[in-house]
Amino acid sequence: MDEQDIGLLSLNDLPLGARGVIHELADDPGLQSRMRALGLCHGRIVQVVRRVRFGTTLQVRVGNTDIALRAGEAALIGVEQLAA
Amino acid sequence: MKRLALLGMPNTGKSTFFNRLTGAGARTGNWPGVTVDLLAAKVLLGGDMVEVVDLPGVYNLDGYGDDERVVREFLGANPVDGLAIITDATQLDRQLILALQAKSFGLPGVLLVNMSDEARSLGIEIDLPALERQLGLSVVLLSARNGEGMPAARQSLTSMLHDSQVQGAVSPEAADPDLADKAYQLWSDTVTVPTTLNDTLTTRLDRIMLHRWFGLPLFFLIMLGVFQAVYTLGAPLQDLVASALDWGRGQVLEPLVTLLPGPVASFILDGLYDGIGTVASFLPVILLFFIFMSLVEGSGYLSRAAYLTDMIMARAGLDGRSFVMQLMGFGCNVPALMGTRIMGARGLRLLTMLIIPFSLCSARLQVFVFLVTALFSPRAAPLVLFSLYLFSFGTAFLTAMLFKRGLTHKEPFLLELPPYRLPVLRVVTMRAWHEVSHFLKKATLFIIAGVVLVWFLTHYPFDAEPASMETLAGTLSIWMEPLFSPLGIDRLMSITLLFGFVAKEVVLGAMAVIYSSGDAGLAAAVSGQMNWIQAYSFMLFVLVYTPCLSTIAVMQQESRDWRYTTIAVVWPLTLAWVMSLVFYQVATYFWG
Repeated sequence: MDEQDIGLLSLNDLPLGARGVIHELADDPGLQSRMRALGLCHGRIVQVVRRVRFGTTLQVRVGNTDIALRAGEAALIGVEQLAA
Repeated sequence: MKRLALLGMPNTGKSTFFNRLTGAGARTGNWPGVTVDLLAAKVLLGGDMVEVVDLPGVYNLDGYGDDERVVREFLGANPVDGLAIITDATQLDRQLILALQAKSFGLPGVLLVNMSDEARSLGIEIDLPALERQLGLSVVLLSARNGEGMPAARQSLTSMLHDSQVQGAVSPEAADPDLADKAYQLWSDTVTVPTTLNDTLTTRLDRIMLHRWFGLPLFFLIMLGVFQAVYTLGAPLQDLVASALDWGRGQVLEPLVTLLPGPVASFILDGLYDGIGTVASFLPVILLFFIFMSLVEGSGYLSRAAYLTDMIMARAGLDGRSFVMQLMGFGCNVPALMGTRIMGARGLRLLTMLIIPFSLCSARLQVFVFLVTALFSPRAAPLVLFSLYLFSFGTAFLTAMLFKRGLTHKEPFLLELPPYRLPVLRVVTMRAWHEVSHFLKKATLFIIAGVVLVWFLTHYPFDAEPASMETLAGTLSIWMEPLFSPLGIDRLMSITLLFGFVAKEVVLGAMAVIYSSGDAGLAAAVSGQMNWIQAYSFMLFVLVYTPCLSTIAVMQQESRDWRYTTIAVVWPLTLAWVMSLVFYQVATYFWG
C-alpha cells in the first residue's frame, strides 16, 4: 500500500489527544533502536498527551509508557491517525 | 565463585532488587574492559558464594548510549554464569525484548517481573506458565520494594546458577531487528491489560506537575526546596566538620608538631592537614546532595524536570537535566558535577560538566559579598551582585554554544517519563553513601597534592613571611604581572588568586594574611588598595576561572580524560582573563 493512501503524517503533526498507529521510525539505527526500546514500534498505537508551553517538546504515550521527545525526533515517526 | 549480572531497563527497580538481594556489603569497583565503576557484592545463594554485579540500566544491548556500551563491554570481557533480567510488570510490552536479546547470547537467565503489585492493582494479568514456556526462561513475579516474591527469586537464581555451564565471556552481537516485534507478540500472547489504563495516579499527578502554566513555576519551587534542603542542612554540618578539624588541629596536631622543625610542622599543618580538611568539607554536601537528588530521581520527577526545561537548554546543545545540575551548582559545583552521572550520553555529560563550574557557588558568593560590601554603596551592591549572576549564566551558555559541536553534535532527546513512585529509602541512602566513598577514593589524593603544592609556593623559602613577595608565589606573581596588570589586578591580589585555585573559601583568609590586617580590618585595607573597577575586574576573574581544585579532581574522576580536564581548566582561565581585560580597559577608559 502506498504511504500516501493511508494518509501518513508525522507524530509531531498529530493533534493533542489524538491517537495514531506507527508506520515509520527514524532511519538512524541507533535512534531507531532507542525508539523501539521505549515502545515506539511499527503497528503500535501512540497518543500525544501534551506539549510543553514554550518550545517544541512533547509528551506521548505508548501502552503504559510515557515518553518526552523533541519535535525533531517526533518528525521522524510516521503515524496514521485513528478516528477519535 | 559463580558470577551473576543484573540486567534491566532504567526505572525498573533494579537497584532496589540489588539492595534486597545483597544487603549492605556492596562496593564499587573496576572491571576489565569497562571504563566506569560498577557496583558488586558477594552473597550466599543456595550455599554457594555468588558475586552479583549491578550493570547500568539499559534500554537495549545494541549500540547507542554509553551505558549500553558499558554493558556490552562488560559481558564481552568478564565471564558471567547467568543473568537476572529485571523488568517492570506494568511495561512488559516493551521490556521483554531485553530478555530475548539476553537469551540470544546463549547465557542462562531468569526473568524477574518486578512491581507485580502495581501491575495487579492496575488489573494487568500475566499468564506465567505461558510466558515461561514461550520464553524458555524461568519467570518470577516479585515486588522488590516490599520484598514479595524474593524467596522465589533467590530460588530460581540459585538453580539457574547451579545448572549453568557457561565457559568464558560472550560476544554480544548485533540484535535481530525483528526481536522487538517478537517481544511484542510474546507480550500480546501472555499479558492481558484492561482497556482503560488511562487514569492512573501518574496521569493525574502529571496534570498538575506538567501543567502548561504551573509546571515551570512548580519546577523552580521544587528546585528551590531541594536547594535549600541540601545547602541549609549542609551548612551546619560543614561547620561541624570545620570545628572538629579546628579542634584536632589546635588540641592534637599543634602540640604534637611543636617538636618538629618549623617547615615540617608547617607542611603538616598548612599543607597535609588543610588538604584533608578541604576534602572533608565537601563530604556533607555530597551526602545531602545525593540523598535529595536520588529522591527527585527515584520519584520520577527528574525526567519531568528535563521535559519542562528542555526548551531553555535545547539551543545550547544541552537537555533539561543539564539545567537541573547547573542550578544545583549554585550551591556547590562538586556534587553537581558528580550528579551528571544521571545522564547516559557521554557527550551530553561532558558538555554539562563544562558549564557547571560557571555556576556562582556559595564559596564564591562569600568573596563577592565581602568585596561588594567593602567597595560599593549599599544602593549599588545588590545590582553588582545580580550582574555577577548574569555573567554566571552568560558564560555558561557561551561555553555550551562554543563546545556543543565538538561534544554533543546531534544528541537526540528521547526520554522516558517513568511512573511516579515513592523512592526506597535504603536505595537512596546507599547511593549517597557510595557517592561519598567514590569521591573520597578518587579525589582525595589529587586535592591534597594540590593543596600541598600551593602551600609550597606560598611558604618556600621557609625563612620568608608566608605568601609574601619573597616566596615562590611572590616570584610567580612578578612573572605574571604583565598578564594581570592589564586587568587591574596587582601582584598581591594575584597571589590570592593562586590560593583561590585551591578553594574560594580561602581567598578572604589569604587576603587577610597578605594585607596582614586580620579579618576585621580587611575591608578597610582592601578598599584602600583598589578602586571599584579593579574590584569588579577581580570578581569577574574569580567568578569565571577554575572554582577549586576539587572541581578539577571531580572532572578528571568523571571524565577519565586528561585532555578534557585540561580544556576544562584552560578555557575558563582564558575566558576569565579576556573578560576581566575587556571590562577593566573599557571601564577605566570611561570612568577611570
